[in-house]
Amino acid sequence: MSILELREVSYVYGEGTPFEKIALDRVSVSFERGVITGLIGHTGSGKSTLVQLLNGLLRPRSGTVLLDGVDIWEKPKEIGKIRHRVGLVMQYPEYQLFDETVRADIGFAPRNMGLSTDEVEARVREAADFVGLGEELLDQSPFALSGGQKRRAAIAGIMAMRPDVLVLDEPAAGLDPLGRREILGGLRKYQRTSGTTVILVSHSMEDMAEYCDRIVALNHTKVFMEGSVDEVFSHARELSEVGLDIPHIARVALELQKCGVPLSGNLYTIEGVAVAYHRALVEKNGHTASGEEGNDRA
Amino acid sequence: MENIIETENITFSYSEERGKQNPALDGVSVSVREGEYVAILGHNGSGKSTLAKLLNMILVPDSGVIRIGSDEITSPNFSEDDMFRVRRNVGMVFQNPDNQLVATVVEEDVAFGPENLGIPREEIRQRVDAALEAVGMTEYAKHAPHRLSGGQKQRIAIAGIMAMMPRCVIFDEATAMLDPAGRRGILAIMDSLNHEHSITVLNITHHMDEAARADRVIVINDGVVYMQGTPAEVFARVDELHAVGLEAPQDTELIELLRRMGLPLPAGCVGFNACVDALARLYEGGAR
Amino acid sequence: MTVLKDITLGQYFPGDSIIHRLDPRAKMILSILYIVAIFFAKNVFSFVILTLSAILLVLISRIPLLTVLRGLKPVFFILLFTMVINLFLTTSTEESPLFAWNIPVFSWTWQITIYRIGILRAIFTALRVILLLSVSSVFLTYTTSPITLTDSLEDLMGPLKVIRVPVHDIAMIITIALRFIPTLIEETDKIMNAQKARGADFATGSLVRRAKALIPVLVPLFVSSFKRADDLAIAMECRCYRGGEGRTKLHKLRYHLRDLLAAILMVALFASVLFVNHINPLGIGL
Repeated sequence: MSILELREVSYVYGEGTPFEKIALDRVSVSFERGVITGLIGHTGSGKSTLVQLLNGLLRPRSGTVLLDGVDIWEKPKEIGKIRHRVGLVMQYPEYQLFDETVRADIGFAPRNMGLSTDEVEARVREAADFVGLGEELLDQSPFALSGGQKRRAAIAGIMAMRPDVLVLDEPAAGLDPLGRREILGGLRKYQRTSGTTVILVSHSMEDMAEYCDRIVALNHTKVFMEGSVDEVFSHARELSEVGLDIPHIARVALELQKCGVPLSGNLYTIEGVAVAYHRALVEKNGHTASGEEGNDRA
Repeated sequence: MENIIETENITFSYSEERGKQNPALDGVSVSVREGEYVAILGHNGSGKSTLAKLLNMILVPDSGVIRIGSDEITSPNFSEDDMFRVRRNVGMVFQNPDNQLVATVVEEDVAFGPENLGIPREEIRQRVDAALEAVGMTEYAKHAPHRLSGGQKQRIAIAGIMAMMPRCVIFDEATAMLDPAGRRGILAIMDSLNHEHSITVLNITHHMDEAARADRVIVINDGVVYMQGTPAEVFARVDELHAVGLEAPQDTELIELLRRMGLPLPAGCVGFNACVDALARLYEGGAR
Repeated sequence: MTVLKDITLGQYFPGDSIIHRLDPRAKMILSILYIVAIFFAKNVFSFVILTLSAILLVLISRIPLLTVLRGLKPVFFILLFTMVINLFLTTSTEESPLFAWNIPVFSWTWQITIYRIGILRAIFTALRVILLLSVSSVFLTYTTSPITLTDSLEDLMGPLKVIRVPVHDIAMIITIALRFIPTLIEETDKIMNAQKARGADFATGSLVRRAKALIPVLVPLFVSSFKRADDLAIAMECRCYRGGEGRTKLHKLRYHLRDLLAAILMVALFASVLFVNHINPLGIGL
């Protein structure tokens, strides 16, 4: 069941100028309700454009964007309402912080929606809770926060709209492994508890493999592949042939297969490859691999 | 080989830090030999960037001694002229590609350093051309920087440092804001700086796969040296890395996981080929 | 809403016409000479000479004439306004008006008179503005890159160093500004989009409301600009920047024979303007 759908959407930058550039070319894709969909593709594949089409920051040159089956540009004057329903967290969102306190900043979007003071406060608390910002931080200036906290405050600023769809463009860019885990793990928890549909853009295939349910791969202005994480990354070879990245561990698995090690199953996470390798070894050497058993982590 | 960088027990704290005096660096002693390729690993806020700024005299340590080559830069009678000599020898590439380019034309920007050093014009020309060549940006010499991609801007920044002919280049999270293609390009340049131009490379990063390319890894945590050694030595200690919010590269993590599952794989497998080899060999029965 | 990106700054048209190859300092001086000549011009003949030379200049530079004219669009209303003022408010005691209307306004009559000299003044003033803008932009913006312009400014202002004007620093500031304007425009665009995604509305409401709506854009813009300034200062220091002293330059400006020839031509143009000002064969002039 899809919640957001693009039908034959094209978008061109600088139309009619010498710098004209096609960003998306008759793209049709639908995003399933209540799951995390990862959007992958290299720079210039049209990801960032697509993301801005989803909440009406950009208007398609042709084709339609459907939210719950309704064209979001049906009433152009009410595009603001669409932006509340499709929350967009842009790249390096911490630069959007401006208000005097974290609380006021997270409350910016709900205030713009015209909600009552109580309702705004309730949503601020809820959103701060989702991203793990403690009560004691809410009355500080957003500029006094650490880098990772700023990022989380900015994301909370969008969650506070209680959007039906939350779109995030590289939410973990520039963070260290722990910071990435905090943000992406938190996002997954948020998705599972709130049921919100999440669309995630990332360059890190390792993160995509770990945190997403479905994957949409763009390549040169078109959709190249879509499906569950299992389906998409089982085509690791095709993906890497068109120059798309795959999880590093999937590369290891591909190389091992080339060396004649018969691996099968989930070959895009460390645990998955470990299990597959162990199984292959057991099958080859009879009932026991060199280890007694193990496999407690997977 | 002689040490190009040496720190002895340096401490540093940002004075305006709220409330408690939490030192960013608390007694750090490291040394880097001339021609070495060293990665400094640590999570955000571990103090690794502070260390870089101290080496380049952007910050001054509260205590301790820093030696760059034969200069003791922490000595009280170290003059401004000496400082600029140190900076010429130790170049620095920063995180944000936008915020380190000065001029509106690529080649003018690359020339900025040599111009400041008062190098004669003909020589600047040669150095600019050579530097652009080294980073593969010759065809962009006349372009405007703001039209380039992040990775390309970062290459220009490196060319700008190379044109000063430094002995050592410090990369301060220089790949953090780049896409994978841009990052790969910069890493290839780091390798070639070290291997082909014999420049000492210090890469400050939180990307484990970047650290795996270095000769030696120094892990900084909470302002102290937490671990150091070859990538193989450091990454074999996966648990200790996890304890400070870091991890090993995926291939090494796989080997370590399988080792914990009891398979007889060698410890400290680092690098794609080494890991694949080890796994393939075990499968083919080399181990049985 | 990418209006901001459409602002083109210093619309430099790369090329290799003789005008492009003139020394930028020479072009600055030529522009000044030409502008002075415009203000000396008094009659139809001098304006004809100036207009023809301007057209010739555009043709030689190979900048499309239409582009040059389009560049005048921003001053169109000012032009119209000055023309109207000159047309209606010029009076003369030496000649009788060409037209005179009496328009009754309630109990009072408003007399509109148009004199020949008023028409001339209107046309000449408009022509002056048009020539001034098109010639100086062909010389300085269309055929000269911003960076060489800054270099030549530094060079021409060199003598001011004697009276302690920080010439080098001014030039450096201009260079950095030119470098960062596109970056800041892009950033403004990005921040506006981010706030729009949070329901900010920049397009409707009263003026006060709209001004207030800009706070969420301006605050982050300032914060990030300070950060950029800080980063850049450190990066410049790391590249051994310590002011203009002892600095060499990759590109040294050099005068060539063509610059001398251009100067001679310009002086000749200037002289002929002065000359025809006096003979005024048709008697049409101010």
